[in-house]
Amino acid sequence: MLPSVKSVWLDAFNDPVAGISAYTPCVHTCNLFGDGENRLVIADEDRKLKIWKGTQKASEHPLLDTPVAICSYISENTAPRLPALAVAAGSHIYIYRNLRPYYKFVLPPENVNTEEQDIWQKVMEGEIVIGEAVAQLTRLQDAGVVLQTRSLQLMNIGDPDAKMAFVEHWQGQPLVATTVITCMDVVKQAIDEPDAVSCLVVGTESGRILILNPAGTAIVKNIWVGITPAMIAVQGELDVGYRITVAGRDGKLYHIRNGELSQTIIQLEAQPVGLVRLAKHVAVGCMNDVVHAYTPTGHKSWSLYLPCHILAMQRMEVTGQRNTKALIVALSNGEVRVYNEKLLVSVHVSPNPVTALWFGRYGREDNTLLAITKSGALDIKMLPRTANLEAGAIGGGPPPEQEIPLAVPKKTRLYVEQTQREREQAADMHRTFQRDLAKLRLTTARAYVKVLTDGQGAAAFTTNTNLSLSLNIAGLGPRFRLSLLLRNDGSTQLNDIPVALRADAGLYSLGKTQFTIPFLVPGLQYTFEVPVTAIDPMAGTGTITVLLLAPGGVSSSAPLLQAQIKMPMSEPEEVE
Amino acid sequence: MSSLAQQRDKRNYQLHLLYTRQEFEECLKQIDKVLEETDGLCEYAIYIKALIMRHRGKIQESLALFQQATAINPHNVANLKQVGRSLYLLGKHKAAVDVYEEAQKFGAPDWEIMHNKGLCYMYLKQYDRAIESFRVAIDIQPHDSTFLQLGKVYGMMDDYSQAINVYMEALEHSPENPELLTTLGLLFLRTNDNPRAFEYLTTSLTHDPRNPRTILAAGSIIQDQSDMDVALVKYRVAAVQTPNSPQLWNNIGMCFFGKQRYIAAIACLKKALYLGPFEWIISYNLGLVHLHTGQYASAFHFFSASVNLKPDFAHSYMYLAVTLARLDDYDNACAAYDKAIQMAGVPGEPVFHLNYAILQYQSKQYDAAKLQLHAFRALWGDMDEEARRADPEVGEQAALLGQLLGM
Repeated sequence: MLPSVKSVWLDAFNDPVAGISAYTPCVHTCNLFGDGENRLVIADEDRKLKIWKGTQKASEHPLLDTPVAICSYISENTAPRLPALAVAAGSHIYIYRNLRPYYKFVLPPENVNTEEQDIWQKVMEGEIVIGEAVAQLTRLQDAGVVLQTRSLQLMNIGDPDAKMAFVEHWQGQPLVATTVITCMDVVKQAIDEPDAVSCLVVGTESGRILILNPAGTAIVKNIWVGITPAMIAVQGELDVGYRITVAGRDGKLYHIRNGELSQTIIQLEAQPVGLVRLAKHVAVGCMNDVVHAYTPTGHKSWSLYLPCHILAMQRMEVTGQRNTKALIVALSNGEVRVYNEKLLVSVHVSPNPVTALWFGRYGREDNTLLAITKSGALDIKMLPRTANLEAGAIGGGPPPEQEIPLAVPKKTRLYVEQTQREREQAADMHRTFQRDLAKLRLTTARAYVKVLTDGQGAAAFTTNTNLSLSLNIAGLGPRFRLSLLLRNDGSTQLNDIPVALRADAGLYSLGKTQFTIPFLVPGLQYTFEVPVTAIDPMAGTGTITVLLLAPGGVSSSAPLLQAQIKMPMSEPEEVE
Repeated sequence: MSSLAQQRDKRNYQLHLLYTRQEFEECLKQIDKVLEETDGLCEYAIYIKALIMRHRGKIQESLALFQQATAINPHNVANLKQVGRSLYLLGKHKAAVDVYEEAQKFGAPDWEIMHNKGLCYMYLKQYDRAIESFRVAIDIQPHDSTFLQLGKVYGMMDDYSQAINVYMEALEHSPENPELLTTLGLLFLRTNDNPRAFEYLTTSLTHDPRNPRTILAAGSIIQDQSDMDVALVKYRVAAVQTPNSPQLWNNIGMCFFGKQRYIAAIACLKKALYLGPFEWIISYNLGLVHLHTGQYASAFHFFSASVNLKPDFAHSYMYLAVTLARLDDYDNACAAYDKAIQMAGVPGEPVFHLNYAILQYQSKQYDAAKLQLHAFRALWGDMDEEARRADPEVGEQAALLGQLLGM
């Protein structure tokens, strides 16, 4: 069931066993050595920086920590323009030049609540006991302070000795709050050109957006968002005017304009999966299978309703002969779609779920799509110069299902012959049927009446009063116990119901042959027991009939209920 | 001590990534690793684990996890909001409202809280409050889902014009949302505004040509306009999506009936009846087709099934009467006509009287026939020109009978 839209891509290279595991933020292409040939740089989850050149892996470099995101940017105005490669991991940014470690930037520590700091100071100096410190920390937490991990750990330890050891472990180290990087992008410094000087933009777990200086040594802007950014999209130039869209972990979009957090906050229906800046809009893909495009003022321009989950999104900025900014979306059904504005212009299917998408210059080819799949495969496709990204396939004509004929059930010749017969003899058929139906009803009614009048069987129920009665026999003989299990399933209680028991007087003697049930509450199970003795164990068996008669005051003499039980063969009396 | 123990939030970005990609299995694996290394002190990992558990239907388990997350950070509204959501899913709407009201006290106005509160009120049948909550939610963020729910509330209150207004307002925000378009189309269909219904349904189909709900509604309108072939082509798409829909096969059957392919019609209708044995309309349609093909004995059974399933549809009795008349069962036919006329009430259906008159004439009850013909003429005279022209056969039959009875 493919949509009628074709793929615009040319297959260039496919390595199904490339062994890469990386997500979109960790895939990048850049002119790594300044020789004009762009390399593919992948910060793999297995802590390796993998460099691909052409169709081969060129080199591998170990990383100190699991990478979060990578970026490349021009940091100096000197020629030749050699891009710096920034790898964000934990709370550090490792900056490489010429693929050699060049500088390490460390995120500054966050402010720690001074009271919390004091408590730690005191407890380490032995001014207060640990129990007191824990009590103070709990009070602090109740007052709304978000405590540091170290405090939470201390509160979590149950054993006093372990607590002591824990404090001992941190002896002498002041309480600091470190934070980690969650996302990273690049903003141009002054001019919007491919090799203009740029700065790194970093989002931190503590809910800040930091903009570094071009050298990556100091923070030039520190913006407090208040919620952890999950993804960022940057537009504009730092010195001229810029806008950063932040997708927060709380499912909201925040906007930063020239260093100021704007009041327009867009709350999404579901958590964001991807954030991509387009020519005029910011496109955000959500977990409810929709891509919304918002203008910078916070108005929704259009939405794309997708058939299944979004896995990855990437910006497709076509350069060369024309300038188009399109959106690439990878879906969980394997489709990789390209949207120009809201027009679907290309669809192709990837055999495996896509984990990362990158579009950019690779080798000497300007417009290349790089896709990495869950199985670790690397797939490279190129956009031919003749590719048509404008011809919208909106609506796409009729869906292909329209060509599938309806599966109308077939009818046999016999059926047709039978219909012919019916047409000729409809009245007779109808009469026969009606007569037989009447006969059936009569037979049923008779059978019903027979059951009602006979009252045979060890269980019985009535329709008009909703009583049910079942009989049980316990014992081996010659002394038995007959239990009557009686239940009133109706909605009203019944008073004074006489019960009569009948048995062959020559075979059995009953403990009582009649008694009255004073009261039957609806819904309760009543048990009545009657002792039964077989007079002569050798004389064979008979049946006992139990009759529930109409309550006093009712003129009808018909029993409400009748049940019979067949007695078992009795054991002979034991002789003492 | 590992680095994760000091930086408990270090893997959060990855958990978020995996969660939003809906790779829950792998996400849970990562969460377990993180929780092991941080002694279960990573709030975000617990939070995500709770979300995944809820997604899998383990609501009680997820509630416990949210409580655990709240213990680490008692002032996080996100946890509170999710507890509310869990309570809502458990059907404890009143408790959910209380939690949301608590959450509202923290921080800025929140679309999610207001939307979910509206949902709770909707299920509590406090429609006024639901409308109020949804309105506030729309003011915060005009999401389609809120508009759809608000329209639904108006629909429940039988206030269709308000519901239409709501959907129209929603379309200003997302003119291409197929779900909105279809819902609006169905609403117009309900208010008997077929042309506008058709307009919205076709717009919806251009955006989502595969939605069986839309296809069925649009197809039925096309069918009403006697364009059977077009309707059949539309149904083909729906047949691939929902091959077991009784309504779909019912409509297909009636298309074939319209094309006078009776055997195909009966085959499709019988398939529909097999799929949905309690849909009275299928039995009724099967009765019509059999009546048409002269299989009166079968027609009788289908009409009688239809009457048993839906005893308040007067036309079933009339056709039952026609069938009985063909089966030479005069007494029962008369009883069925009486019932049909009684059910049609005032003013009544002229055709009932005309058919009754014909039956009376055929069984030589001329006086009774005249009486029925009178009743027919009175009703027929009250109808406008256009309605009369819709079925010329009625007029002809009436004239013929008039001649025979000398009226």
